[in-house]
Amino acid sequence: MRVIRYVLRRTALLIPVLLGTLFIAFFLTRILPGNPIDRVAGPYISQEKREAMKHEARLDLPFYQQFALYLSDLLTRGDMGTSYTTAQPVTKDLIQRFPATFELVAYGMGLAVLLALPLGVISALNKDSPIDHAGRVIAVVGVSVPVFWLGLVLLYVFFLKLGWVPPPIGRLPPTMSPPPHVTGLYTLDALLAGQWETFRAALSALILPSVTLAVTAMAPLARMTRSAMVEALASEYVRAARALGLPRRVLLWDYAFRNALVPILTIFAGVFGYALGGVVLVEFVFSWPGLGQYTLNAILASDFPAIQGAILLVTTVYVVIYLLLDLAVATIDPRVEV
Amino acid sequence: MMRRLLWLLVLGALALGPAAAQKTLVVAVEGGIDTFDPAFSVGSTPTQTVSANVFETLIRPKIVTRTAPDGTTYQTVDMEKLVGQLALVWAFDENDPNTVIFHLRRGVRYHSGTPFNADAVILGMRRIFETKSITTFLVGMGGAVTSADQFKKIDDYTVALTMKQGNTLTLKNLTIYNAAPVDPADIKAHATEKDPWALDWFKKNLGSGTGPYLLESYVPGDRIVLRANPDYYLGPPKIQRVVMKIVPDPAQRVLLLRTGAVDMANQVPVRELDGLKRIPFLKILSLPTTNQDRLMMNNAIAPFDNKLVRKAVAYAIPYELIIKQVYRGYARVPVGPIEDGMPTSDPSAWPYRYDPEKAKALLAQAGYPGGKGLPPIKLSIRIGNEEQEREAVIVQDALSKIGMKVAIEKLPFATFNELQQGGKLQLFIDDWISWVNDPYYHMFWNFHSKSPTNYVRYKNAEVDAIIDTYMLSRDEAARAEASRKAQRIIADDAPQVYLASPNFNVVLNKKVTGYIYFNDTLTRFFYMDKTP
Amino acid sequence: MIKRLWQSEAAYRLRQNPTTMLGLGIVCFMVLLAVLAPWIAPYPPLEKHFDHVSEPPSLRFFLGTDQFGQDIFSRVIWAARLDLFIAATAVAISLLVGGFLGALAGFWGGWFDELFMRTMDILQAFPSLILAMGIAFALGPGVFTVIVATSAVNIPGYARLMRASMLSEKQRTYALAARASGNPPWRVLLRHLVPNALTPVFVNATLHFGWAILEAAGLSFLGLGVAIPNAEWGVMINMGLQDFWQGHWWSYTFPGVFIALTVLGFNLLGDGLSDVLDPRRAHR
Repeated sequence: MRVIRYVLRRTALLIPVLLGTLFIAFFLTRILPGNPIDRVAGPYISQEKREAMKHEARLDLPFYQQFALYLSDLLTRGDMGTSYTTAQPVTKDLIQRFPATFELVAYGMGLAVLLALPLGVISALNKDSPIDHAGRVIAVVGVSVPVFWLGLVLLYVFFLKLGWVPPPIGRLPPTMSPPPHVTGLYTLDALLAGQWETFRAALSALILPSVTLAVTAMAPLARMTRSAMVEALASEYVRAARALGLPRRVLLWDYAFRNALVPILTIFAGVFGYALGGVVLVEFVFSWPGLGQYTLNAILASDFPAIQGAILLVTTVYVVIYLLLDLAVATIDPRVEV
Repeated sequence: MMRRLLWLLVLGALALGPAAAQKTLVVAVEGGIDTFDPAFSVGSTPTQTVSANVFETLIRPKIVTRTAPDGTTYQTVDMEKLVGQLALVWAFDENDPNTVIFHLRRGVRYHSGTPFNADAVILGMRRIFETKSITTFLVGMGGAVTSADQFKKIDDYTVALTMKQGNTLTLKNLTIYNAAPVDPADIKAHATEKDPWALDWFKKNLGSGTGPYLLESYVPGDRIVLRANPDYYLGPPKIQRVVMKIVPDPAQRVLLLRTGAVDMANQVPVRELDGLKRIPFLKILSLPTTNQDRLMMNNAIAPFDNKLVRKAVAYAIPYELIIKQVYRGYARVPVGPIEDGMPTSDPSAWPYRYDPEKAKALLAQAGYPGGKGLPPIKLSIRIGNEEQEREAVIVQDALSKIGMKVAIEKLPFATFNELQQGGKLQLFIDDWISWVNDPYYHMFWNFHSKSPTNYVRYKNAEVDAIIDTYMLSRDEAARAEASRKAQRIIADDAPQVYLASPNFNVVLNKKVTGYIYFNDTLTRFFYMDKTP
Repeated sequence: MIKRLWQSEAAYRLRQNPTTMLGLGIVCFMVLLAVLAPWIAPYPPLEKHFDHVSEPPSLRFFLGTDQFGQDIFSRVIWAARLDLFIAATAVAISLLVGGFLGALAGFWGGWFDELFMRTMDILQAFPSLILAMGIAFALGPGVFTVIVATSAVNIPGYARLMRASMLSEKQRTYALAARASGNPPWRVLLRHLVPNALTPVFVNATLHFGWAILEAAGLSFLGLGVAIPNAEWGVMINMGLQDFWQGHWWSYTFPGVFIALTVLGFNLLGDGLSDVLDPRRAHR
């Protein structure tokens, strides 16, 4: 019961944040030079017709009225307007694009965790040894490399030179149809449908972009794991447990790692959120048909409804991740008041 | 479900034999669909391609065979000869030189089954005029057609169009797919009180047309799939499915061609063409067009309000270098305001060649010796056009050599378009190809002071008068003479500078045959075939 | 003065850490390159050699040429100038603006603080790259734009840090004493609190320096930042992208190496600094 109330309270706190981001998105698009009508209409349309189209799109209204009408459409009908670049309702576009980004980020972050946790733990166990220094440098190098450049270099080596991975043209080869839609995550859907060919193709298309993402996401995770583990290992109860002669494995995982989990989770949520926004660059390099490309194209085309919808979705996911994180922390760490 | 399965089995059995394999053409395209309404599609080439394969106009230009400069023969269209499409024949009325009679094809049906007849044409035209769509602007050139009432139904299969003045330019404009009459049943089913012409529905949904293809599916950001119309009145198309794979990055379209994953792509970066030529299963059609890359100098903004400055720029550009460095030979040095290949083009009217000394002298004469005293100049280009980006860098370098400092500004296309249409760009690069291969069509849009696409705000009363007088004339000799005169006047004013006339490059798998180049650059899949 | 700094205890601890010294070395090297660019670079950054287009590294062009025959070695060096300038300005702006706002919020508290914290929440929930893209797009491309966009997205971070630092300094004895002795509030704020609260903010700035370089280069890479064909690392990678499929690896590899190296330098240095200056972290 208390947990539910906590969730409700936290959710209520999210509303002003989401409203605020939406407001900023609205404000930014409205001060942009360029509007969607001029692009869609082209030059061969009379001024009169152009004004009518602007009226239709409510672009002739004052800013605050546009915002209010948008909100009421969104809340009453779940309507985010129609994109000017795809001619589809923005909600439909987002539902179609989001799984692509989510799948990429999920694989990327999964890979990052697989690499970072052992690295961090090993560094902590061998504090101040050459292994620790090396681990630290690896982590710092990972975070220093521009993600778009890394993507290009990996492509050069593994695609152009070695030919180990498929060309960077999206989630599946153009001749292959997507698996039947269940979750929108192609690898999962292909497995559910038992389409092994599709699964292999989808997975191999994911390799390079997710590795690229993982390399940059890995560094903060590894560093936080290391320092949290160092602290936990030095704590009194671990020392006490060691004095009791508990086996090293139990000591490490049941005591130290469990306690280090909270800061690691916190940084994980931060990195995940950052990856969700920063994935634009990776999607650009790999022609990944996800939310990042969608947002970039929308910005370039002054596609107001699409920009607003995409930003609202990304921030919602972002804040929800933090909410989930807080809940996870609350369940792991008994000291946190719910 | 079971029934559908049975159907499939039956169909499969019928289709057995050597021709059983379904012919699918995979095309790499650069973007998605921004509107499905044929009356309003201007934005993206894929959108226009879908419209041009699904909807049809009354008449179309005749298909002819030509020879490219490199010796290959290819098929294209001749705008001077208009033939029937949905109208079987058309002719000027013997009694009234201002009226054209269209005799419609009988037995044509829309994909939905609605019969095509004179009523459909009249309703389609009313939709075009009452929604003030693009065609209104085109057929309204010179005031030829200003209302749907000028189209009259004579009988179920005869329509008469009475123009202000009998002319062929209006008819040429009617060949553009924007003028296609849509299915009356679609309008009826989706019209609302507020939206009597179902604009909203047509924007989001592909209506039913009379053409050889219909939409199978559209996954934004991924693919557009067209399916053959088996009941097409000219016989079922040879290619049954067209998969238009959306690949925004041109380099990646090339990659797909190289791996054989797609059968066709256009708008391929020219730097890739030589490499693609070496691939045994590909062929490249590099066709001369009237397309022009233009350096646009806003005649209303300093320093380009000064004719001498504009002329200085025209002499400062290393034209051959652009053809070599930017286009690697897949372009021609442009010949002037009316490009070679358009009737009445006169290369002798355009005196400008690369001559930096003359450019410096002209700039000094204009009051800016060595570039001193020039205001800051921004050269704007669109993000994403690689060739124009390279041209901008070369132009910047060339202008700096006569003392003109220029900063390049890459703008997102929406911003670029708005500033361009508003006449707010000072110096910019764009490209233009006239869909109607007619000098007066071309001159009106580019040089008439009242044209919305006169982006450099060029104003010359004499040129305006020539365009107004001869636009709708049927006196071909006088029309040609006046066009040549206008070209000389324009050359002397130098409102724009032509950087290159790029070829239209189509890369095809050798299995693909029957490609025809239309002036609007859109692919018509009906004429094409693919050998197994 | 410099000598004394070098001999201080903190500096000693810094020197003990090899990775920090490596970072310092890289940063000094890059700054030197930037300052000496006109003397080191063999060619002007925009000089075009149309007879030597897209050539691989050679004795004449150490790191090869790009599609306009511009010398990549010279451009990479000149770019150090522009990129360090952009990063330094952007960091300085976000530090000043964020620091100012954070100090005010921390010092006054009350409704201003509340409003401030909620605004920061919103700005931080906004995906930073997308916000930067939006700002860059709204302002139109250019060096100034990159600086504004890069600094704007970092302001909330600095502001929060400054506020937190301010809150803790406010409770210290010296601050209470200064106030009790009748100094006006603004004087306490400027003379006593701000200088002391700034230390963690400065450390953070070093860490952010590398991040600002990445962000700025990313914007230019997407075509929303510095204009072509100027010598800037992100622009160079963007231009190199056009040569990518022809295998001209040198056109984008070297600018990327320089970005990575510079950012690495600042990160190692910032890391070491925070270990030394933040006593809590030093123990770890």
